[in-house]
Amino acid sequence: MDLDEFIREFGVKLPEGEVIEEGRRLFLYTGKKLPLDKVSYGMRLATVDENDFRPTIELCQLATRGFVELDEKDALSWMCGLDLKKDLEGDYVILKYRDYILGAGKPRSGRIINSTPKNRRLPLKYSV
Amino acid sequence: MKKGRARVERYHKALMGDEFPLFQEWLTKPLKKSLRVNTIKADRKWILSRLQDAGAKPKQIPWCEEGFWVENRPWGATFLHQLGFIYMQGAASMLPAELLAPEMGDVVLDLAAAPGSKTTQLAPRCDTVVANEPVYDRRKMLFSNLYRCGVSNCAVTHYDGRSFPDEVEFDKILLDAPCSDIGVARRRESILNTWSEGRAKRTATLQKQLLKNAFNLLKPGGELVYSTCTTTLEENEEVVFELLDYVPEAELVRIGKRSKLKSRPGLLPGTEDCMRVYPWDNDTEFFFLAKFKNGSG
Repeated sequence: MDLDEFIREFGVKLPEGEVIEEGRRLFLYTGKKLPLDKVSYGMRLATVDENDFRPTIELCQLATRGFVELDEKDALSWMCGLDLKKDLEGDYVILKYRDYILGAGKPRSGRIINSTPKNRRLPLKYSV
Repeated sequence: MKKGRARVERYHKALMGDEFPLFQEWLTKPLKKSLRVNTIKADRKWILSRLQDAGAKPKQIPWCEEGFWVENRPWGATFLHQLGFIYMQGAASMLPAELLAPEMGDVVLDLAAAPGSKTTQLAPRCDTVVANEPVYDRRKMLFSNLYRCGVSNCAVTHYDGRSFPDEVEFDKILLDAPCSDIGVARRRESILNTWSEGRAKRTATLQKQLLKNAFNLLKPGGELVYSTCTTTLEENEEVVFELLDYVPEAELVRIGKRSKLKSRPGLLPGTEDCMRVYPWDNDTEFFFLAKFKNGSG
């Protein structure tokens, strides 16, 4: 999967701007380009490795379809960084609890693999 | 009494005059929790209703439409925070961006940006914001907050603020300067242990250099807000004088009274147009604010 496929599959509404590649990371920049060096631009969209595309929570929050709805227990577990036991298909699923889009996970062998960054997780004591 | 606190009190006895007992009482009184709703991710009404769902009774901070006082709970460990809908921020710390008042179309510089509270407050109100932070560890915090809040119109730079290049002229500049942090004591009392008048004076030297370079980056007619969360004359009024003395184009702009915010003028003659905010007036941190205009051209 790449950014264009992700945008198509999940109906992502990307604001008008420039997609910038910086190393393995993709960013969206909607401001003016300025003649400065020592600079990093914009909002992180995804990390891209050779065979891997990892969307950020922020990119997922721009999606409009293809959500997997979670109950409170699973949503809390997910936000604590735990994998979920769910038999799903596809490269990615976007997880949603009520109005909250929680990010994307990879379905693999009856589980959804969690790659929520540590600084975005809730403390483990909140998992049910 | 701990040594640090004793040093702080000795310095402030003369500065605060009749209000010194209030200063003692409020110096380390725990700060009321406050947050700002992040309108980049959702509208104010939606986030407020989610706060209410979570059992909160948010109370409007009168000087910032997006700012609310909330109950003392671990808001950092909530979906709303971790998904970027709220930003925990002191109520007085919302003032610098409010006074700078950028408009759509403006290119804004936040010269000492980490951890990003003011950058994320400025971003939805302007065309482009440049967030500068020279210190690597502090820049990591800045990135983390910018990403969490979904800020896409921000460029992050890591220049020494004293030599930020003058290739770009900015419409508005915020210099929320590094300071001796007396105002932080309401959140972290240990800050008093490292406080000394000497440290405040050394910090003032840096602040003067930062302010002079920041002003140099303003467009003709552009505006700059200088702020600190500390009380000393050396880091506040004397820094203002330094700019006015050395830069003829610098004009001090009167900061008008704001509804439901009790504030005081600067303490030295000639700085009456500046603003001091004291904890016992509004139950906030300490803050000092000055606004300048580039009168050239």
